[in-house]
Amino acid sequence: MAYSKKVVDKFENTLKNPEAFNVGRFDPAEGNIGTGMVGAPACGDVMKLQIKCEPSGNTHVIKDVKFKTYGCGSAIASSSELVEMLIGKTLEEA
Amino acid sequence: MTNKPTIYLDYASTTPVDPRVASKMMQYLTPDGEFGNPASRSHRYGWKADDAVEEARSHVANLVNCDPREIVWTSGATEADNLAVKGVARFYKSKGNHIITSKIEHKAVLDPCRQLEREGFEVTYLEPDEGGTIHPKQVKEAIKKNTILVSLMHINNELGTLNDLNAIGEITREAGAFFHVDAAQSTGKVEIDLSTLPVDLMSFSAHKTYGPKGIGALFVRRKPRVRIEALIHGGGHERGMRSGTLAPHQIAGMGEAFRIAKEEMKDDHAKVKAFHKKFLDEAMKIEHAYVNGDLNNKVPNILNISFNFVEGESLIMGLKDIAVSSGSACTSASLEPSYVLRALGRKDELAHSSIRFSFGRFTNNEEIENTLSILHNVVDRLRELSPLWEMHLDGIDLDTVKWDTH
Repeated sequence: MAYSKKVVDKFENTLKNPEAFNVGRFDPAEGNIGTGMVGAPACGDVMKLQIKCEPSGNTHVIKDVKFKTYGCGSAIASSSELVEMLIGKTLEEA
Repeated sequence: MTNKPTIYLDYASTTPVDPRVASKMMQYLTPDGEFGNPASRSHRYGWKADDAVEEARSHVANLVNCDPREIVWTSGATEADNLAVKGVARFYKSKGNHIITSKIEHKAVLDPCRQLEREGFEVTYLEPDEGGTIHPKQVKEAIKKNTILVSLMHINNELGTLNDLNAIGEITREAGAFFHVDAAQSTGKVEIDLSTLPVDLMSFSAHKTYGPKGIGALFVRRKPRVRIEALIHGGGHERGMRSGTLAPHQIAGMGEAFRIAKEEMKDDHAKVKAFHKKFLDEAMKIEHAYVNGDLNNKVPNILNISFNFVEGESLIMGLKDIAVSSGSACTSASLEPSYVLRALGRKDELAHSSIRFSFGRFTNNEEIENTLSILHNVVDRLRELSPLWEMHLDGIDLDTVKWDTH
């Protein structure tokens, strides 16, 4: 397979231990949650991303992120990678 | 789990060479073997190589019950398909320019048909029913006065479904058109009797039947005679239909593989049938799993299943210790999922979610059991990751969602 080791490892680790890699969804009752979904099943990729924000100064900081992805291995691995990059960023930085 | 060899369940893609075949092939390569050119008529090296080629030709003919003189060696089923489709069309173009095939043929037939369209031929692509079968009635309705060739596969490579060669052949005979059949998936799986089947040309491959890659054959009927225009010129080998020095080691390999196939077809079939039943029973315990292809009209060595709400390529990646194929787009260069599954009218997401398991002579029970347990586990885990599964559990009908397709 043409995938790099990094992609394969990320995919496998996410699959093995979803909680540790931010897979899931927030309780809909919680506030400060933003939800987005892109893609279409017919195209083979759908990603759902949720961010939990907290006010910080005159902006918001992403405190936590959860995601779910339907798609090929690289879509799942890259979703997982993206999520890690987001945590701790302000909305502007993100 | 570590260091365990990958379980091979992709026999419809290719098979390993049977060790008996490999040892036969070894006899035609080295200085102490029969390495001669079968076209050399002036010395024993050539004669011996020629003997090997003709013995192999008899084995191939014997498996499908035809005259050995009706077998033309090619580099594989792809070349055999090309030779049959383009060869017949070009030879008989003064008789007519219409060809009938189907939407679920192998690319080795579809691409030559596209080429013929560029050359001015007209091609009708029949649609399979939702079970993956082309019905004789459809052929009858599509035949026109200027139809010269009907090309349909015997067993579909993705689904394992069968076409009724006898009924279709009777229709083409009556209409005066030639009937070509791609039988790459058939040898050693089902009985073929060309002495009674109304088929004019038939393509074979060695490497789907425990022979080597790089060798195949085309059956070209002598009575009633079929003529074809050659694709490759240069020496007039194979009665002018396919020039080029014959490869005795490859040919002997195909001959031996087909000889064994005839002897062991019953055993191979019984074994694979048991695996199919077990696999089907267990895999269908997974919710929202669907078999692609009519279960009542298919061979047991191929089993194509869609697991809804998970994407096929990620499933294959999750099944990393198992070698299987997917109808998913990501495994091919295009974004389109399997054209075969789409032709059945399967929704794109189900086509994206399909896996083809194919069993063979060297598959064992333990491999089937391990695969099933890994499969259950990986499907569950990927569904945990799937927003579509979450929506499904929330009671959202995915068909009513307006997706932003890209």
